[in-house]
Amino acid sequence: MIDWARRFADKLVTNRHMLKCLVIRELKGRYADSLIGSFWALIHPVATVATYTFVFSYVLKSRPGQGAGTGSFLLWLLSGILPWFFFSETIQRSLHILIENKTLITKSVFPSEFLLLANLLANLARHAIMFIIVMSLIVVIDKRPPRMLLYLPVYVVLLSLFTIGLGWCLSAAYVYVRDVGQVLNVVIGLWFFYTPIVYEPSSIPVGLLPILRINPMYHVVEGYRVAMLGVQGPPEGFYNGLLYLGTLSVVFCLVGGIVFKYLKQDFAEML
Amino acid sequence: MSGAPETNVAANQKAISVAGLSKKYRIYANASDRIKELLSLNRRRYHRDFWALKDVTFDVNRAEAVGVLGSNGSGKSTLLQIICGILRLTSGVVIKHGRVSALLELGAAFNPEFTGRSNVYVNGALMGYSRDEMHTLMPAIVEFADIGAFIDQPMKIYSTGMYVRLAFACAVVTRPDILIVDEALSVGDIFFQQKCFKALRKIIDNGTTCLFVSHDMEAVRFLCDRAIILRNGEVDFIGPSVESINKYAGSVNTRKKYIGVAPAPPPRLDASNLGPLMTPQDILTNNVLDSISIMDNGCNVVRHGTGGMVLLGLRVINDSGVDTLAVELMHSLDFYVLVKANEEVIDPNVAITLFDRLGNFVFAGGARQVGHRLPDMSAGDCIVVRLRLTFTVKPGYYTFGIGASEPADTGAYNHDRFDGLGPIVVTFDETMELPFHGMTMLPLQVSNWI
Repeated sequence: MIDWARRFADKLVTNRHMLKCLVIRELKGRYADSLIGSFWALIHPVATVATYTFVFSYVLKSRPGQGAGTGSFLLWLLSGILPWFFFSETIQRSLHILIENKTLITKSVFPSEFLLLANLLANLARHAIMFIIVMSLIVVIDKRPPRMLLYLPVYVVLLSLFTIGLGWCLSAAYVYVRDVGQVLNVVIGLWFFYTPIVYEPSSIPVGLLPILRINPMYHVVEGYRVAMLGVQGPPEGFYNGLLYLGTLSVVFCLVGGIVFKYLKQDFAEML
Repeated sequence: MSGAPETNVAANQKAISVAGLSKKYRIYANASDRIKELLSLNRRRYHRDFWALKDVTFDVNRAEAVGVLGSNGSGKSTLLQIICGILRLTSGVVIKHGRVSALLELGAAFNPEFTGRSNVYVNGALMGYSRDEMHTLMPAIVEFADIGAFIDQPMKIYSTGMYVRLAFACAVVTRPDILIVDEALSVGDIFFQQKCFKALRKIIDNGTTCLFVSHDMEAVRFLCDRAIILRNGEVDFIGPSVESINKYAGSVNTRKKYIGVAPAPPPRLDASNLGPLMTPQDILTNNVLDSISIMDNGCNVVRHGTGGMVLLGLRVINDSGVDTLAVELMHSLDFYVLVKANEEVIDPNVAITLFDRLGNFVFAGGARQVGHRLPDMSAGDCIVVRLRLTFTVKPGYYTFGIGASEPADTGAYNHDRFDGLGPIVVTFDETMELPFHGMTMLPLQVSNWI
């Protein structure tokens, strides 16, 4: 396993320039042919956040609870939906990236796992921009520095590992079975509400909580909120959750890598 | 080609060894059958097998060029893709020594969103060259590709020809240990083809091993030492390329095609007929010197000389008096050359050269070669020279050059010369019997008794 990781690292070093090109293309190319370019990258999340704020804050009058660390529903929603945007965008995009680069795979010996890595890195860059916006809003509105911000990098790394692992699995499967795309659309839609982003986990029956906590995104969202908002101390089960998330992310990343490595042997034939 | 790293393959080693190679494709009637089979955990078969390659065995020595011949669907492309490592083999062994560069159908390893330059870097990285190494090779690649400012444009706006140019430049300049070419040369104009064949020959002579798939028998004959014939996924024959080509061509033309046996007319060699008088003005108004061969970035024409005489204009007309570079086989073109002397010139010569598609030097000849003495000239004199060349050469594309020279101690003293003009197209009416086979017609007389 260590040997395998070292070989991957070697490949990463030799192909770093290519990876850079791929990332830049992902960042630029996405909106290259549209009129207002990368503004679309902002419009979609802004519209989503506006909708949820309107529905939950104004119509349903929900307020963040006592331990949330902020009184503003908007800030609370933003800090929770931030990792979700990153996760869902990356996963949904990763399905199509192999098909789009079909010629590279069928006509040359191309490390196709890099396409997904580039996708992840490009989305990570967008994620960083959104984080800066959200974080500035929190500091400006709440006038309170986040005390646990040091946890954030840990969550970013774990979320990235989890996302790339899942992305590898799904994109490779998609090459063989195109139904994966349809299934994913449904699953992502359900997964959003399975994760406590627009509601507080405390508002659901205690008996259902363990089911919610199986979801790795539960812990990611919780971690982001703890790190970004003015929470006094970690909530109950926070460290166990972190441990669970850490284990799951590493396992997903490894399994994803192995599955991809196995399935990619016949990519050229299938594409 | 300077700066390319030395090939890291020891001498007299096999560059590619293929043993018992087989490739099976699973053919599913529709996509859902694949899932059904997966879900039944391979207990039920929903596919039928198709063997694209069956027990293929051959070796390629270092610095050898081997052609792969075969009709469509005979497994050529599959074979190359497996050797490149793109496709997985079903059984057998493939051993390669050294860096492999592949030109599979139009150098599709490029990413259309990237600029040409960054694609070259990416391509190099894929082949295992560092950024620094590619940096030193870059000028040579840019020069070979010769696509001007397009090198810094995204490749999606490239024409097919430019695509191939860049792909080929990468492959040739980086001097891989093994070069795999799949029908890549059929694109690109004749000038670039000539350049490619020359470059290929050169890197093969310098130790690159080449595996070359083409339907172009002439190219295989020109480049390859040996050739493999594939038939339905099996090796039908391996041998010297000439033998393979004859065998393959023989097997392809098994059906006897009925051809009207009207023999082509003999060449018209009535040089006495001077035709209409061509004035310098006529030549200049129909001058093609500046317009032919400019079709591809205009960088192909090479002009050199000391300038004692200058070629002011060239008009080319066929035997019906039409301005054209297309000529029917066994017919002739008249090349009217307008030459001006800038100094005193004794016994000048005006000549034409002809090169075929592969860059073979087919013919050169002029006034002196046919024993026609042109008048001596003094500074400011102009002369119109007509060269009537009858095309008794195999149909196809040719480039030509014209030049004006004076006798020198050895050879000729070159005053002005244009090379890389054209292309001249020699056409042939397919319904007729070819008056000869091969590169050119030699005088042949046939008699019989009884």
